[in-house]
Amino acid sequence: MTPIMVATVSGLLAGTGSSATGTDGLFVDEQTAEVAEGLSRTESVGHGSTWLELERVVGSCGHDGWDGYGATAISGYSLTVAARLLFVLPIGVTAPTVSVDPDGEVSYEWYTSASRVLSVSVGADGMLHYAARVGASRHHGAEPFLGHFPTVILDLVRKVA
Amino acid sequence: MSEIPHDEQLARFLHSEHLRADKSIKPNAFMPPKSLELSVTCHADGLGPDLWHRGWKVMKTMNKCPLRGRADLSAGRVRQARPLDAVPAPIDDDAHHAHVVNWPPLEQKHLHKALALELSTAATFVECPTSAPPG
Repeated sequence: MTPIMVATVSGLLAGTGSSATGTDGLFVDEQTAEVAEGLSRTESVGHGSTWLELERVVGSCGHDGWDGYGATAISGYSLTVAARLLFVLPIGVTAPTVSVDPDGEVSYEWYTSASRVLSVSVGADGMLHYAARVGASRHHGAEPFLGHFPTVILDLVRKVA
Repeated sequence: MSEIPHDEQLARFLHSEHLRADKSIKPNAFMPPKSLELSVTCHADGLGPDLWHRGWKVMKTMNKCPLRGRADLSAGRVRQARPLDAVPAPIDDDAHHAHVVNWPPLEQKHLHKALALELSTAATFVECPTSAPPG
């Protein structure tokens, strides 16, 4: 794992959604962010296992050709967006597992069975491309990541997980 | 160049990043590269151990993630995932090499994901019989 990648994974939450002004407001925001980050990283309440998986794939997919077929190394930009997306996944919602696509983009997956599965690729440009099977229904599309977890995708998460 | 028969088996070699904990196949195993030509190996003619040899050759760049197995599905099943097709694409050291082609444009990645999900669900996982390359 490169130092840049480690720094990226560890420092991804900096600057997440503060609107506070003044010393007191900034202090409250910092404390709130610290508590939220701590909760998010726990296994029981948050999505701790996914944070660990993000760090794992940086190691296993961090070089070109990681799949044997010429795949691109994991994208630092995609990783940054993926971490921000994970941070805004509501606590209590099932945590996803992590994959990497041949173009280097991080992909989150919620998998219960072959007929209940959702895969979301996190574009470096902030676009989320998803495909799902929910029973006999098939869904796919693209949603921009605008700082909150897209409702369309969250609804699919709740249907498959 | 002759078309690949519907009943011919196509193999996509896999390592640990392509498999879930229950050994089912993740869709990223079938996501196309930027060239939109997904490499597979035809093996209707009983390649046997030579097929695994080809798999180890594909994974030769991998140091920490050895070949875990392969995903098999027929050319006909690939074609059911319209508009995909399988065409021969022999290369210097592999006459059995083929491509899955006709992927939608790169910017429509959600369509790639839907197709890759369909292929990964249809494919059968065959575990590699050895944990290291032969010889």
